[in-house]
Amino acid sequence: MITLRARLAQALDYVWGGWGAAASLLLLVALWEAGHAAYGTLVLPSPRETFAALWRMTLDGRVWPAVVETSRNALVGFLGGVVVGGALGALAGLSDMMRRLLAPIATLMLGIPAIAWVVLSLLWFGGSGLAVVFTVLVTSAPIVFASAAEGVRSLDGALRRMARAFRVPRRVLVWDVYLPHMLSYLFPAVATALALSWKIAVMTELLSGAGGIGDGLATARVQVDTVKAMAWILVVVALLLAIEYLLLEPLRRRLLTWRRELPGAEARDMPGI
Amino acid sequence: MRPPGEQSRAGGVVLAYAFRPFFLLVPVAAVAAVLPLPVIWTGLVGAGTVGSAAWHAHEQVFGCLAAAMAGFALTAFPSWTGTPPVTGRRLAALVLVWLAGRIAFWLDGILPASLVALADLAFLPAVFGSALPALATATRRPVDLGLVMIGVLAANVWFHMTRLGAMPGTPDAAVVLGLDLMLVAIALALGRILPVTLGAALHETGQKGPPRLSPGRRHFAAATLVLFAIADTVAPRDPVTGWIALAAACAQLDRMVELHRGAALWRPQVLLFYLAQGFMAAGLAGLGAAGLGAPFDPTGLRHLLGMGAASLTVVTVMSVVSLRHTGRGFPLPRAVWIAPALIVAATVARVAVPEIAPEAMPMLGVVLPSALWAGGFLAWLAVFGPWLLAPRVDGKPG
Repeated sequence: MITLRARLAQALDYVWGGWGAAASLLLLVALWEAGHAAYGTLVLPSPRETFAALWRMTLDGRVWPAVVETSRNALVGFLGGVVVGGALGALAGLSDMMRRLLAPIATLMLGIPAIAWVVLSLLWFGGSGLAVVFTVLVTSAPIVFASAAEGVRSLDGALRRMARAFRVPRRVLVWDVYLPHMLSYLFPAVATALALSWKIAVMTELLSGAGGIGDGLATARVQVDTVKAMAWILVVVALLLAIEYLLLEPLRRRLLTWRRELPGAEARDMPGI
Repeated sequence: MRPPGEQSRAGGVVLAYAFRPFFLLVPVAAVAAVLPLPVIWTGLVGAGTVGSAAWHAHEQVFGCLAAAMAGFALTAFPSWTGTPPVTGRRLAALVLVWLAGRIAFWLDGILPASLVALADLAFLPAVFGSALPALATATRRPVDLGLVMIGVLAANVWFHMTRLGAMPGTPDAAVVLGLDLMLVAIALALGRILPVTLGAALHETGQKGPPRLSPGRRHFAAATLVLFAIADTVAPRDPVTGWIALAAACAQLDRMVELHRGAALWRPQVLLFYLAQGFMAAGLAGLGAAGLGAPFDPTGLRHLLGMGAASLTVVTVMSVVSLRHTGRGFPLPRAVWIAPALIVAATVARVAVPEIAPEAMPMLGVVLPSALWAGGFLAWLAVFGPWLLAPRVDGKPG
């Protein structure tokens, strides 16, 4: 049993790990600053100008509503994609016939560029939030489909027979055997789809003028306002980083503990003093 | 193997291993490097070829820290590489070269400037020269530390060349480069020291498991410091340097997580390194903020790096090495806390006073920290000096 104290210590260590990420990002900001010094504000505004612009935009109340709108569209599309892709994938994994039917279609869907879906959804749904949701759904579903199919297909029959022989309750079988196995297949795909859904959402918004962060970017482009454009990009990047480090990475650590570290992979150092 | 009776007993003991003479001299050098400061700040001006600030910084970096590095490296290399240590007459010669450099630099303005440069620059090449023959045959060479020390030597060459007007730049910039590179050396050396001290601390506090230190974190921390040293020299007040300093600060903070090991963190051999890392991060972060326009005094922040980070690490390493290489085992004596406490107090005074009360600078910002600093190093000498002067307690040579 892990004590609360140990949990807290673990959480502190995880948060503390943010310093390493911050160091890496700050080096990128240094490169950005050097680029600004070389090419000027019109090409690349300085980081400080950009942060200041972002701060002003936030105070003006323009950032938060856009973030909410984009996140809502992206999340609805993503969840739809996970449900549709996951359900069809599970079907394809259970039945060979369904696999023969669905797998080529999923491959085809995966091959259609996201930008083509944007154009189609704009033609079908016009410049509304629905266009964004549809584009995100249709691009994330095939990703989830493939991994769900593979996860179900590779469920170990021997393990199931053993569980039956030992009269393992159904709940335990699902919870302790099937679920961890499925997660190890599904999680990477779902994580990729989640990160992708934000980018697709912003792209669709930019072209459709449906509001959200993408719309802000489009306006900045029309006004040739590089500072504002960079500020909006920062918003997207901050959202993606927040999802990665506050949601996905902690989940990954919790769910996939067993594949984290191999014993013996630790420092093989020279003797000390 | 000296024939008995050829040298006096105390001399023989002191020259039995490199850490003994150099760790006895580090406190002397540390005190000497601040001794003239109160005089200078209260009116009497030095008459050398460099300003008083550059003189003081040079003595701290290329005098005091260099002696500590030499004592540490010449003691640690033999155990890392399996080569014979430098002892006896050769060690005595090294100590004399170091002393000649210090005396020459004290007499700067009286002796010819080029002679001062030669005397001061001789030390690090002499250390390399004494260690190279053995290292040439060793299989595992600490190349990284060697390269950084060559960089430190280059910084000192640059210092003297600017003083003599033979190279562009200022002595102050050269000494800053020297300190930046010393921080790199410390970051690298900690990778070898921490497994030992953290392991001992875990053992003392009854915890199981290996020290678990990742080489990746250490290399990242050192690499950002190298980048900072370069940027700090090429474009000292540029915002790019500011961001790099902030990145380096974060990389040092990132490293500190490895010491979060419950009760083991509170053992002196871990907590003092942890504090020093914190000072390094604070100094780098402050310099970064100053580079991006924050109204901090950069000279004060350099003291966070020199006093807080470098000296605190040096004092702790000296304590640990003196303990282990005189045949003693952990735990460290309680008196180990005295010197670090005084040095931390000195650092806080030196850094905080110019920010809070600039008008009180001569007394509270210079005289008080100098006294605390000198007191700290003399306290270290009082606690550990007797160990350095006595033979190993287990009767082994060294």
